[in-house]
Amino acid sequence: FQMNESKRLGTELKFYRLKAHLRSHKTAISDNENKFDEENLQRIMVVQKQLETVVDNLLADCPTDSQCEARIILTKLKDELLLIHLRVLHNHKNPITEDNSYAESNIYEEEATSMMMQQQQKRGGMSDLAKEMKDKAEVSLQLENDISNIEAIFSDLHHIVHEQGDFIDSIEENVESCVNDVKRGQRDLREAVQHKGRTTTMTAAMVGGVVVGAPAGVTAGSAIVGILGTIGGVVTGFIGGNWFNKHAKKDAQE
Amino acid sequence: SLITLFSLFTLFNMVDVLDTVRLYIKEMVHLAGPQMKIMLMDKETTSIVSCAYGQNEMMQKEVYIFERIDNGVQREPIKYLKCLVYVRPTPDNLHLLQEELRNPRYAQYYIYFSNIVSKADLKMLAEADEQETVRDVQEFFIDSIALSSNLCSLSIPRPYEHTVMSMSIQSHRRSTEAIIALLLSLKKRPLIKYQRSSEDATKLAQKVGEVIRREAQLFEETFLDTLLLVIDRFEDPVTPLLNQWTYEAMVHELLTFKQNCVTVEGNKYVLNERDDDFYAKNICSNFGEIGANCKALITEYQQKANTHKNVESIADMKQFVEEYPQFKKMSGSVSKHVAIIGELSRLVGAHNLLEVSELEQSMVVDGDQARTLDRLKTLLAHPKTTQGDATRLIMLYALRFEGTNGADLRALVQKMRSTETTETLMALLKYAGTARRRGDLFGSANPMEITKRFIKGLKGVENVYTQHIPLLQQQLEAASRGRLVDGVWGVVNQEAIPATRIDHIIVFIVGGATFAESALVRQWNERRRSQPGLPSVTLQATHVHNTTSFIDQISAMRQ
Repeated sequence: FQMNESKRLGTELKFYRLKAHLRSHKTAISDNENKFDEENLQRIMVVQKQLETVVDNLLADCPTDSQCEARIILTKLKDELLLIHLRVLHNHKNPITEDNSYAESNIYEEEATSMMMQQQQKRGGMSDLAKEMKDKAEVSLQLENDISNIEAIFSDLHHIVHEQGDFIDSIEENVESCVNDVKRGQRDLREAVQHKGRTTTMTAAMVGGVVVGAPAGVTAGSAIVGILGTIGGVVTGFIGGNWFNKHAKKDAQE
Repeated sequence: SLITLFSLFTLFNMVDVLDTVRLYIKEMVHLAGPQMKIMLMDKETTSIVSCAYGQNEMMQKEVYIFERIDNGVQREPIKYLKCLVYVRPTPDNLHLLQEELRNPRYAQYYIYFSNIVSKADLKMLAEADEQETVRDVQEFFIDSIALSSNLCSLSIPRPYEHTVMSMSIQSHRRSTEAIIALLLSLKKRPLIKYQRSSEDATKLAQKVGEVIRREAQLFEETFLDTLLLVIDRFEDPVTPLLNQWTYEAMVHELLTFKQNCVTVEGNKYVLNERDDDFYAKNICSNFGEIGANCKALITEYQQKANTHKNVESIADMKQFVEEYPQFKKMSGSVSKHVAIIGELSRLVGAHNLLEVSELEQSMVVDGDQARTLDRLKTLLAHPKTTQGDATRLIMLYALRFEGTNGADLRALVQKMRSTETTETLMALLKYAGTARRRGDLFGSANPMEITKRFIKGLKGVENVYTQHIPLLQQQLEAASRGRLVDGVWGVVNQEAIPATRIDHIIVFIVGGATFAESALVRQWNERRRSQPGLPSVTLQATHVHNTTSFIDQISAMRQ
């Protein structure tokens, strides 16, 4: 039983995500393998680079112990990444022709798909082929977006995990110990309102929603709510009205 | 009246003070409506809210900032926030609130007082609201800290005046207000009985009766099924001096709760039954059971941790992400309880508490003086025995064998070499000695009790560390059977409620309660499930003591 569970788990989670990215990345590559255009290749290489960086970061997180399971798997992943890298480059230089070596080097891919593709190529006309290529380019683009999205969520989640480690869910403790934090929060809140015109509010709201306990995070996220609040306040301010005066008058009459 | 009384009572049958507090706070937030909110509280209402809601939970209700109105910190204006004010209606708070309203920092104010507000005060407040930012003012009668479903505390560790053995005027007023608010929040107009031997209990009971008569309008729609029993700690000075072996009581005894927060090795942990299943299940378990249950918890956790390692497919991943928050919560709970139980167990070993506790129990329950004295001398000389435990043992000895122990006691106290201990001991005997107590604390005068003890002795004791039963048990039994003797118990308002109609007992303890008594009440209320005729019990007290704070309270009297 390890006490430092939260940090370890954060890393582990990162890691599983990475594994998944990698798999989809790989599928995307193999789907397009036979016919990369320059633009597609560029994109894939960018993703590839990102992944490599993430793996390297993770490796840095890992204990240096060579028996460490995470380290072993990460090293394997790194090798695989390198393999993909090489294969992409290779296929780019020698398009279409290398069917055999491709089947050989790839153990994960569904061969059926590639065979279907080949048949289609033989049967269909040039227009079909062009359309297909366009579709595939879109899929690849989509995938890339997905990957970076996942990565964002991923780092958010890791952030939360980290935050929660220190957060005591007690109003009293936080009121007493966080006078300074609140001051900082209020400052941030003002800043957030100054940023109200920006389109980033959606993301900020998400961050604000999840980073509980840190006033800075919350306030940053609440810019839009805050603005609505002001408007609401003004409106009800007019409607609301003379409650106290009435009461005071009534009292005076009594 | 514009102050509408808010009733939620019909929503629940069983009296649960914590639930009541939660419902009222929920309603406060609800009344303020959507949008971002700040909550402005005073020292005491901060504790009340804090014990009823976690910060996470409040943030989900869009209350993002929590501030004290009374800590002198210059708050900066945030004009687009709604402000929820929940404070006690004290002159200081009303003054601060007027200041606030004259220069409002927030868009709108929703003001909730924890008790009755006078019309004059309200008028002053209305006059201060020049900018007309106040949207709502109500009295929500939540005026003491609900620590669990059956226990609330005023958190006044030293209610006594230094020189006299009666409560200070402030503590007295505060206690009256807390009782009135509790009655109003539960919608009860009680029959009031009090311990005649205690001046504090007498005065308090009479004052409460007086307020009920004066505020007849507020008490109009209340139920006549409750007995309010005002008792004084000095009738049972033994319970707070004993080591405890149930989880909640042990944590307080050895680590000391600050409301529901406890610090272990610099880490702060919140223990509450609402979202900590392990704690809820083990709150009354004894130390042995807690150890076993904690081990089971760890095993379960490890199994879960292992299944989470096998994430192969996207489906696995999805499942992992779905289960992850639950898993994370469990991992937090495991590390918290392991830290706390680990520390408890270290202290039990380091201070030789099993032996100390065994002596305490046999001294109080069996009362074999010669044998006790021998073991006491041995234990006092033991290197592991702390100063605090030595003091408590001597105090128990002094109380248990008062009048027959003069020379022995002097010898024991001399060994302590502390004039402070001597003085505190004198104060204790003055506060709760035989001269002051009316009840039969050690069951030595009652032949029934002696017989019971004899039979128990023959049968053998189930658990040597938990033999003692607080006096409260006897008092509750007498109250529920309508056997509170007139000579001992005074009655305030003569609205005759037949004993058969008493469905609920509120016990107010002047001078503080203990978690041992709370556990007793918990078990009592459990029994009610199978015995529907049994009245349910709520405990309210000036403080919830452990031995250290109880001795502090007595020590403060001697100055």
